[in-house]
Amino acid sequence: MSNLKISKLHKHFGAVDVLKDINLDIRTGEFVVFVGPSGCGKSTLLRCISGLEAASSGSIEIDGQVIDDVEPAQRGIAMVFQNYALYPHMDVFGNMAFSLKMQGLAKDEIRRKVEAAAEKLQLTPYLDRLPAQLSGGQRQRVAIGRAIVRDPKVFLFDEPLSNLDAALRVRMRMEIAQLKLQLPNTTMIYVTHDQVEAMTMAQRIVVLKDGRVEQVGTPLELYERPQSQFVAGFIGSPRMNFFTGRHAEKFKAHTVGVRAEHLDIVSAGGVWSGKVVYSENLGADTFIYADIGAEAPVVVRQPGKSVFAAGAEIALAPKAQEYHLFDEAGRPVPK
Amino acid sequence: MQAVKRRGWRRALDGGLVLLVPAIVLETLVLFLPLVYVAYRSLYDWQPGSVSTFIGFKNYEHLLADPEFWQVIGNQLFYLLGLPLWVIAPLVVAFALREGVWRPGLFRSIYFLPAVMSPAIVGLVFRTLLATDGPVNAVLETSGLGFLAHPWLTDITYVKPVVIFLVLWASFGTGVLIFSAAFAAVPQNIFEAARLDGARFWSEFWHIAVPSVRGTVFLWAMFQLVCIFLFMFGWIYVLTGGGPGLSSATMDFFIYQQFMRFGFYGTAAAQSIALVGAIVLFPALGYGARALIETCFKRRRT
Amino acid sequence: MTMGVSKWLRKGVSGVALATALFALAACGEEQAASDKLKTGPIPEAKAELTVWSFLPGNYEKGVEAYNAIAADFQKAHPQITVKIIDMPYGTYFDQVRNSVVAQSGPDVITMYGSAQAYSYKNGLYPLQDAIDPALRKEIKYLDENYSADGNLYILPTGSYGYVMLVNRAIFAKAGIDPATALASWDSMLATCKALTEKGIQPMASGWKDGYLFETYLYMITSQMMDKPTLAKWVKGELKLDDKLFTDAVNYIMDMKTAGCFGDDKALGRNMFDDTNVQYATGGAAMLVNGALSRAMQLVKDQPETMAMALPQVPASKHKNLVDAGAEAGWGVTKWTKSPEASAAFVNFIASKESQEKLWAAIGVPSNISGFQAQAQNDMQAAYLALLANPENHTGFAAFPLPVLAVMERNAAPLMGGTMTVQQFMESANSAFAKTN
Repeated sequence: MSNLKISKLHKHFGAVDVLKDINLDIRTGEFVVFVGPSGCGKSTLLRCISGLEAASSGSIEIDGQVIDDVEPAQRGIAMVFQNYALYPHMDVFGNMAFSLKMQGLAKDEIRRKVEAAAEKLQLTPYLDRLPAQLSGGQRQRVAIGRAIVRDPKVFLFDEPLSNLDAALRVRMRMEIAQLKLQLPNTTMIYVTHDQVEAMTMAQRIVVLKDGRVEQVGTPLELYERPQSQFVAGFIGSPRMNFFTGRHAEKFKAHTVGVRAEHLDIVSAGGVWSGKVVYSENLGADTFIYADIGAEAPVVVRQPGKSVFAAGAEIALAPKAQEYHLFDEAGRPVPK
Repeated sequence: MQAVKRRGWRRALDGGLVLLVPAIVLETLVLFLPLVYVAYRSLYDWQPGSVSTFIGFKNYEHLLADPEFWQVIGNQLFYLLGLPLWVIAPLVVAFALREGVWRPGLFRSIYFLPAVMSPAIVGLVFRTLLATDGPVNAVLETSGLGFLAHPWLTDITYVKPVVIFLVLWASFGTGVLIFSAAFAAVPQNIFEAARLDGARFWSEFWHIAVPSVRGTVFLWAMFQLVCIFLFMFGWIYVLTGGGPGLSSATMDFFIYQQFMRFGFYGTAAAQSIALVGAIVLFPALGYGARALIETCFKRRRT
Repeated sequence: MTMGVSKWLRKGVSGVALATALFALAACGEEQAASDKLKTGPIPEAKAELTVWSFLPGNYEKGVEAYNAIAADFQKAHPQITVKIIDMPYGTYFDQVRNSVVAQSGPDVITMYGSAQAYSYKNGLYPLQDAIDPALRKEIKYLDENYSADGNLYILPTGSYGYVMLVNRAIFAKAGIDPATALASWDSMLATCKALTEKGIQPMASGWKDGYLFETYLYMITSQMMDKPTLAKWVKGELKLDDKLFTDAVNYIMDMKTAGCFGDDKALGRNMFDDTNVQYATGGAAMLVNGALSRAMQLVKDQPETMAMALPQVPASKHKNLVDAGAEAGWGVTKWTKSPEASAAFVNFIASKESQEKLWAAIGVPSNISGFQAQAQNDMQAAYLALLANPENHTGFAAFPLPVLAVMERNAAPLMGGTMTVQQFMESANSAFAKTN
């Protein structure tokens, strides 16, 4: 069991409110991703859960027990840091064994646990190396191994992949997903600013903005039913197109949002029309950027290898019901 | 091979070495040449202003046969016992202050103040404070702690430990500053990782903090080691005058006395060379010890 | 030398350059054995400046003005000479002189103690025995004991001091003891120490930390134990420190300690001048050893019942009522002076009867001119001057070599604190004495 309950959590640094009234329920074994732009408070929230940062008010419970005054090490939590935070003067074995040593476990038990974790993470050949002698991916695995040996109830990842190159990031993403499968009862909380990571890894996503929870939901819920214009714009790639002013008149809303993949290029009955500025052919899809007289070009995603020359006139229309309406404050409006 | 070597040498000369030349020239003029001169004079019955006679190693023979010289060497070794304190105390405080304190500027000013004060002035202040009739004993006596009042600077048992503590007081600020700078260069989240791993203050200190800045720790220890031999004069001169007896005298103070007070120029020159020897020997032992520890450490891991 | 260094860098041959540099250094350090005789006679007409170093002006409230007045008088007599008297703190004075001697440059005239002390600076000082005005030589006191062991007189002594006991009659009265009978003999003094101690009164203000008080008692007692021929042998270096006389003198001091004359062990952490004066001035002790009349006059202000008396003669004393007394200090001429005639004239001038009388009038230093007569302004002056006028008086102070004094100073507290025995104390002093010969 490792249910995590956060109630009315506030955190301020001096006069700056970083977290405002956070309420969250995270269930045993869930993989939850905190996502949001930088400065939204997602890392601070993670640090409050870990105990490295004390909340200004509110409380955090694990399995019904309030842990606000519990030492970080006693919370049953392990954390993987963005820059790994490996102890540079200890070899891999020492890094992974440190928490067990602090718990006062017997030497052979420590050895057994560390070797098991190393086996799981394919680190066995590197046990006597120093962190400086490892590649980025190997260091990342040591950081994870250091967390695993403690057998934590809650596993925290603080942007663990942002220091890796693109190819390695995809591989590590997969490895973390596999790790989750091996540890079905461990709750994992993963912080990222990359919505692709969020969408691909999360069972549930918590979108944060300016210290508030904007929306909580599964990736598909967020994609299909964003509860705000911000979430609509943040989740999904390419970014959702927003039409305002005269471009939204026909829908009787302040803003109309349509995802690139939900726009059709039509010959007649188009809602919007404009000129092609540029098009990108990605093989499976083509992205077409069109100027309809709004601030930003509209992005349209077409399957296959459609060809549109720059300057060509096109008309656009949303697929039936595949659009979202928002009022002036960014709140959703029923269609 | 020869050509390549020479090119490397030329490159060093064109690059770094050229920039070092002014320092080398100055050091040679004000440090090494006088040192060589003193070494040369230590072989004479040196009489500045009169006729000096060459006497070979007589000055050294007298020195080695002088029980006072050995007593002073013994004092120096006793002061070496202060070394762990002089290193660990500022290290612990720098570690504790690492996460920031209220009014850091004020704190820094307070603990750094002794470092910018001349030992002579600090020595005078402490000589007054610790005098038999001084404020420290007066406070102890009026507050009913009279049994703790001691002749701090004039008792053979207390004087050396008291000097060790005063030197700690004086060097502490610099030490904290240097270790703070060293800690600032260590990624902070390894300390957070340690806290999550269950390290408490002391285990975090010993297992994480100290190894992270061990280069600085060693450097500071070596600096303090040299200080014990080279910069104690101001303290001893003002605080104790080497006494009671010779019980707090250091080599530099002893040399001063032989040369300035007694006019034993040749003996003083020989003692100066012995002091230089100690300043080379002890840090060399320090480096040797470190090399030994590190090889043992490496061997144990493999 | 700079050439040598650059050559070394250019050629990269360190050996040659080091040898060159060493040779250059050795050459500039090569001693020209200066002419050992001070030139005297008429002062050349060319304008010249005399620099005089002294710690004496600072000892007196109006000292700077008094010594500057002497300098002005000298300038009046010799208009081509400008005399600059530099008042220097005592604490670092001898180091400054030492630096000067090593560098063979600095002042023309310095204040210095005589005998063994001046001998330590002999490489910088001219012998003066042949430079003294014959008329002055006849009337000046304490000349013989200021000769050094090499037979030279390096300073011309001036002023006088005498170590006496200042006695607070008020405290004695309270204890019901008559100071006159109390200090009548050595044994009665020891008995008095016991009696005062029993009444909770510290007999003598004491401080052993700097060792000066110990030395002072040693001078006072050894002077009593030396007759004139013995003193002459001591000054010439023929009497050695391992003579029984010195050990006996130390044992007399230990007898005083045993009798309780010095109070408790707090004296181990106190110094002679500042701490003991405060102790006496605040009524913390019944007696105080004092050398300078001017300081005694100061202390009378704090303890008006103060009177000056001689320390009783030890049983082995060769005298009836001797007070350890000598010249306040003396004046030496440096070997690097550019105006030897003027310097010689100046030291004679400042030692003259006229100059010394002016100093007595201005700052109250009794002169060392024999037959010195002064109008005493009060009982204290009268008593002190009477004690100083005793023809028996002399001192062997200046003949104690500096290293011996240093060893005694630093061992005084351990000896008085009981962590060192008299035997160890004397062994240590003797080994220092051996190094000076």
